[in-house]
Amino acid sequence: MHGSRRRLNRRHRLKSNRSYALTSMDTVDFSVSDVDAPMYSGQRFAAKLMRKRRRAILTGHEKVRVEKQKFKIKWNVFVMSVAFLLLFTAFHGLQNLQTTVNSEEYLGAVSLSVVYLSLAVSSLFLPSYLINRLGCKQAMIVSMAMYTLYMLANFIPRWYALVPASVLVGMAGSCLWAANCIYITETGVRYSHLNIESPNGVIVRFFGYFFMIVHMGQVFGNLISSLMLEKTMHYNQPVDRVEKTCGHFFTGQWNELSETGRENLTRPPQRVYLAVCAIYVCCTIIATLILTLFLNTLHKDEVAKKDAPRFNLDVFRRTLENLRKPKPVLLIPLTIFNGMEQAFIVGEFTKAYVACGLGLSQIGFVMTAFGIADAVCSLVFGPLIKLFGRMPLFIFGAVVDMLMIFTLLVWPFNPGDTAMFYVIACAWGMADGVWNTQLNGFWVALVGQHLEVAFANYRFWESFGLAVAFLLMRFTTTEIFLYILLGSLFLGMIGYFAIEIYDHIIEACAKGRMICIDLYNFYRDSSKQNVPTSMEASLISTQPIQGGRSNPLVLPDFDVSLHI
Amino acid sequence: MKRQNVRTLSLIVCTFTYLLVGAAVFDALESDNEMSQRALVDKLRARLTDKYNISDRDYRVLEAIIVKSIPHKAGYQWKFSGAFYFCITVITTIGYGHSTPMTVGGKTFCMFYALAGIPLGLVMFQSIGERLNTFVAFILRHVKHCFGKNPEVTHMNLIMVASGCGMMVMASGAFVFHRIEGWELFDSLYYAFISLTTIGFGDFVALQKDGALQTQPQYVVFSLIFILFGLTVVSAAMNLLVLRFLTMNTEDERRDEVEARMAARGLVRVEGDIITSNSALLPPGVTSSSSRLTNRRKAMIEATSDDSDFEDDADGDTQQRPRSQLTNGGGDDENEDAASVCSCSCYQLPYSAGSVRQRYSVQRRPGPVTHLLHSPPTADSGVCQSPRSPPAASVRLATRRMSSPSPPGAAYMQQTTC
Repeated sequence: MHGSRRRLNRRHRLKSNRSYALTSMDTVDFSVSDVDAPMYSGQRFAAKLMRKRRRAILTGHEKVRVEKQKFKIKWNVFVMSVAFLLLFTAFHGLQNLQTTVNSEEYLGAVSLSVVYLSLAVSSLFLPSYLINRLGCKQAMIVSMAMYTLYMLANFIPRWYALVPASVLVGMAGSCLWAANCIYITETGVRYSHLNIESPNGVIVRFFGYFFMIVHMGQVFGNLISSLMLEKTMHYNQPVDRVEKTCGHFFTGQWNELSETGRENLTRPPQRVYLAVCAIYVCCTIIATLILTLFLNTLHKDEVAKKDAPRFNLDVFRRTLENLRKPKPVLLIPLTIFNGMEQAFIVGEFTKAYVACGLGLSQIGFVMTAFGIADAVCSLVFGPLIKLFGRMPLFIFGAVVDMLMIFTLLVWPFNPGDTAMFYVIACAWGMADGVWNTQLNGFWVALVGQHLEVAFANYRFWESFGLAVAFLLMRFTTTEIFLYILLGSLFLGMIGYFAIEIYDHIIEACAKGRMICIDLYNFYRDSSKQNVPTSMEASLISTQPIQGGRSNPLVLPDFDVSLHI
Repeated sequence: MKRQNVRTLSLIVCTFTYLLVGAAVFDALESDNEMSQRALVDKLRARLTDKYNISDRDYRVLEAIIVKSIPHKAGYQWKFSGAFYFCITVITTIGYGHSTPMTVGGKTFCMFYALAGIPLGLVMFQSIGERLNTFVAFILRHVKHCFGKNPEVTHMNLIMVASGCGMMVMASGAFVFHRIEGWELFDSLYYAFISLTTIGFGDFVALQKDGALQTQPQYVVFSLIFILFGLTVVSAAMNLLVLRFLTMNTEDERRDEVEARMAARGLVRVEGDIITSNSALLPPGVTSSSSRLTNRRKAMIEATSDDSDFEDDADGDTQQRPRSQLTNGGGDDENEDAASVCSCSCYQLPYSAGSVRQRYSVQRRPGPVTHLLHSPPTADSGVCQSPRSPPAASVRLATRRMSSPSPPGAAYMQQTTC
């Protein structure tokens, strides 16, 4: 109570003190009397005022021009967000149905695995080439066309149609995300110049808006599928009874299923499924059209187009380089787990739990809950890291995931307890939100300098985890899959803790080595003294070494470093 | 004897007396009723065994079955809504006992769940209560301002408002339960009180009629919100009371220290501020990062080193010391006298912060300020007049916060060595 009020007062004081000074000069110097205000917040506040002033100075023609450009940039980001929203409405909606509808010979799971494998591999070298060649806008349009192709391939659910389309869509996905990242970064930088702001803040904000809209895709896509399927597939109220063949008892064998399970998992009438697919195709086509018609090309692309396109393996090389550093390597298990848990909720939970217990038409509703929780948490947990630090959020995510895995493992599956499905989906979405934002940020922090490489790394390992998990679904039952998930979570968390205490370990090791060397020297010296060499020589040789080595141990190095 | 000890002892005595008196009163009030109940049960039992001609053993079995069936009669206790209700009773420590985990796994998880959940719930309710109090204070101030009174909100006002709110919540909740559950109005008031004070006897438990947990979702939502919101309001009042008691306690401690210091010497009226040897003053708010602290200290000393009002007795040693050493955290012996900085830890007179802060001044010249350290007054200033550590510089930095670079122990060590 008191603290906040004091802060408020200080703020008022600052405002009244500074605002007149800022009209005349651009820089602010702090007098010593102000030390009790935390330096950084005061400076930031002053900088904010300064920017406001500067913006106000612009007048007349200049101002009109700047306003126009700013509006254009915002419009472009909005257009792109809407296009992505439509595209991922279609893609997520279809993806959630994929394993359940195309369950014959695990066609759906394997095709999704192919999608993510192709995404992982192609993200290492393809995007830079394609974007160089075509420019951001063209690359995005081409990728979206590939997505349309994939939707069309779903009309013929056969191996020969789905697998090639999956390969293509994986490649398209990597290019799409890379181009989108570059586009937002470029426009963000430009906007920050116009609006006199720091580019980083603007980029983060733009990404925030973008993902806020795109995350809605989960919601709309699932609602479309569920509403359409429920209309045609007569949804029967779940019976309050323990199902012995669904949930974690689910084996994937059709003949082991109970009567209700079989009924629930029946493929929807082809006519209805085609209608759903057709809606998704329309969505992607509209998305492509929106991008083509309304998005402006980047200025940078038009310049770059004149150069000859080159095929560079820069990202690939840098990714490999990271494998040599210990910290990124330790983060890989957790990133793979992130992919695996996404695959679980998309592939296994929808099929073994929701579809088997409640019916195919309910998948969308449950996954809507997942999508909302994911979106909200992604937005909320981003800033929270500043408040709490990284560790509590990671532990939160891990504990939630662990509890949910245990719940799924021991729950005597009873479809009558419908609330459970939604709660599990929500909790899973919260954990997923933590992983998505925090792991991304952690990769950036570890890999440093190059944002592009960090994202590529993260995407590569996440997609790898997704691919592996979708492939695993073919060979495991739900229960074993859950155990594997639990194991990989533990492995990932061990890796994460290893990163957090890595510096301490290294320090301790260095100290230990120092002591060892010291002891070694000591013994060597004492043994040397026993050897009857000339007295002077031994003195000359040992004295400085001993002094030099033992000094760091005597100095309170450690304590000082702890304070700083 | 120390004042704190006296207070603790008297509290213990008071509590036990209170318990004894309470037991006596309950005995007087309840024992008659219990006797008659018991007699009634015995009579009915005899009549039943006579009428249906069942053996004593069978009757006991019947009794046990009836007791066991009570929670089942209320509907499913461990479907999601029931489990949620149970979780709330666990983490708020109400603990009605209407449904308890029966399996080993459930019991184990319940223990761990409570271990993490109870502190979490407590902290959440307390911090919501604190926010609520702030909000109430804000509103009160504006209301008073509107009526043209002095816009000053006292602690008493807040307590009044909070307890009023609590009573309102209890009364309205009791009315709704009276309507829905069909309890007597007095009984439902009793239920609301027992629940919101987290006693939770479990003789009246909401949501246990006609499978309300499954069939009446609105009522479920209402009762859960009633419990959570009511606890928030109650803990807002608790927050105020606890603050009251805690400040009483710490005020005592502070007064002790103040008295000790007053006895030792004149006045240094500062509020956790740091005083350098040349009377430059470092503001409070020494934060946890010591790098910032040292930066600020350096800045302060640099800023104030050229005013020479108080430099006549500060000897050359202090002034000529290179400034880089000041940033070393003041931890080692070399620059003990460089930053002859002292802090009056926890010294706070009962003034409001605003009035004191303008007036901090050293009444006497900062000569021997050794008594400000956490050392016993044995090492008096006379002994410390060694050439190496002049009187003006004999006190080393000791900040109030935990993260101070030089712990009080170090200061003490240093004192005794000189």
